[in-house]
Amino acid sequence: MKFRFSGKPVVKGNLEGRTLVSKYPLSFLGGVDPNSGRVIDPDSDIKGESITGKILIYPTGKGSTVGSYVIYAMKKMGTAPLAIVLREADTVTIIGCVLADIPLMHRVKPDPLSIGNNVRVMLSGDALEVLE
Amino acid sequence: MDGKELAEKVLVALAEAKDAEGSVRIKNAHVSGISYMNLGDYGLTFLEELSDQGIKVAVPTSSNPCGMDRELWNEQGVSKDFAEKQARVNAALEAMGVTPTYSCTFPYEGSWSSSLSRGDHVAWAESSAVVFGNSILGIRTNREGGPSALFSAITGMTPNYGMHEDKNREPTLLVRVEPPVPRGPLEWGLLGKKIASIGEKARVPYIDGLGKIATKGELKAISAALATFGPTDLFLAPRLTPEAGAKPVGLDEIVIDGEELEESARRDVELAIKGDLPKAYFLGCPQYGVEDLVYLARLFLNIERIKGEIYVFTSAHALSDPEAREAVASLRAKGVKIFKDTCPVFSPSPKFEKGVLTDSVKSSYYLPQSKGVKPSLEPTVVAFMLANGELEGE
Repeated sequence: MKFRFSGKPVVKGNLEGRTLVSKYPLSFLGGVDPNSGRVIDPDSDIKGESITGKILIYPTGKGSTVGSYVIYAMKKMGTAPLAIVLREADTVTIIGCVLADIPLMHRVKPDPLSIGNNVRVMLSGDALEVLE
Repeated sequence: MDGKELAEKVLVALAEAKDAEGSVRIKNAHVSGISYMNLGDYGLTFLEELSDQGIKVAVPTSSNPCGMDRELWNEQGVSKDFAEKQARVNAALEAMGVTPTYSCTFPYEGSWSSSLSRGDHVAWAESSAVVFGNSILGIRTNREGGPSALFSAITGMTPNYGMHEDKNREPTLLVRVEPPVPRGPLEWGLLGKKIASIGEKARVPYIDGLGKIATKGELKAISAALATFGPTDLFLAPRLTPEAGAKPVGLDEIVIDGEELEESARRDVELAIKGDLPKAYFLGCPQYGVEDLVYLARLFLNIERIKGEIYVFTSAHALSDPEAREAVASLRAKGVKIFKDTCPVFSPSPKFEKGVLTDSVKSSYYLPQSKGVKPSLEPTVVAFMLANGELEGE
């Protein structure tokens, strides 16, 4: 079954990948281990999961603005997510994604959190398409 | 990466994501997030890469507190290792042309503030300064983060949305404080927290009942608390803020009991007298200004040597004033520990392992996050009682 979501691209990109979805806001400083790419926030529903190479979907960012530099560092180390999809983009994530050139989309309708985990999706232009 | 191009890309992305009406020129910028404690090696590397390219800020740019007193770090208890890393952060910033102010109050208290006029756009990344500036000075700034303020400093521009637009500076809620708020930074901080906790509705509160005058310390305290506990970047108050205008009509209204604020401020004093509270008191969040230092020196006038531990955090610009230096010399001679350029939330030391008292509502929120220590809120007079040996217990 194919399903098409549409949103507003902040950093544009065309790519395919598998999803990792969290219901909770994410802080890159303290919430993610940049070396391993794993979520370490004890309250997160994706704690222990690796965000590396995933299309990471969550409501919005939270926490220290140093998080932008963490996103950039993860890209350099090869542990960054492939793309980020948010309900509403926050300054920390926007800046991190621009610095790291990681595709970022927000204001996605219908709610992108409804896409399950490990689902193959394609991001292109203002579209987010479920491929399976 | 080309830093300048990158800075422009960041601002365009921010402006688009926030539906901003283009960008506006800023008069100055204030960068935060510069303590090595928060930045770590990722942040340090990023800043060094940027400065190695020869990128310079395009407008006067001040800096928030870093992780140590740049002169007294050893006395402060900061390790040599940390001090070296922090010095590298500072060197990278200064190489980009950032002025080494290392203060959370410089934007509105320092020498540049006199050249700002109502309506000027700036990009400040210290939330207490954002509220103080928007409210008391009438300048316009959103609550920036460390990186966004830095990229604004490099481009000299900021996205035109939020606090930069007239339409978002209108009151959203009428707050009446009856009886009026009692004097003191703790009391004003508690009021700020109470208003901020209302949430989105209190985005721009019009506060009636602050009285005709306020001390700088009280205004700093309410600004810091509003910013810490809620979405408020601007408050309006008749006679205290230039944009207040006449009392708004037709807005939702809430009443806050001034007496209750006074009671909650005094609640723990009795406990303090029983000797159940920590024997350390921290003053200076936001950093102490000239008036605060002079007041404290007067309060401690008849104490020869203080009991317990008193920590005061202040700024280089405050210490450029001879009266402040005199006050600091007198306080230090009595055993008060005074540091500048930093604050306990951003520094590995002091740790306050045995707990701490403070009159800062803002730090009651940040200290548990940064040090795992929940401070007890006590009025400033308790600092005197501690220093004077009145909290010995037993």
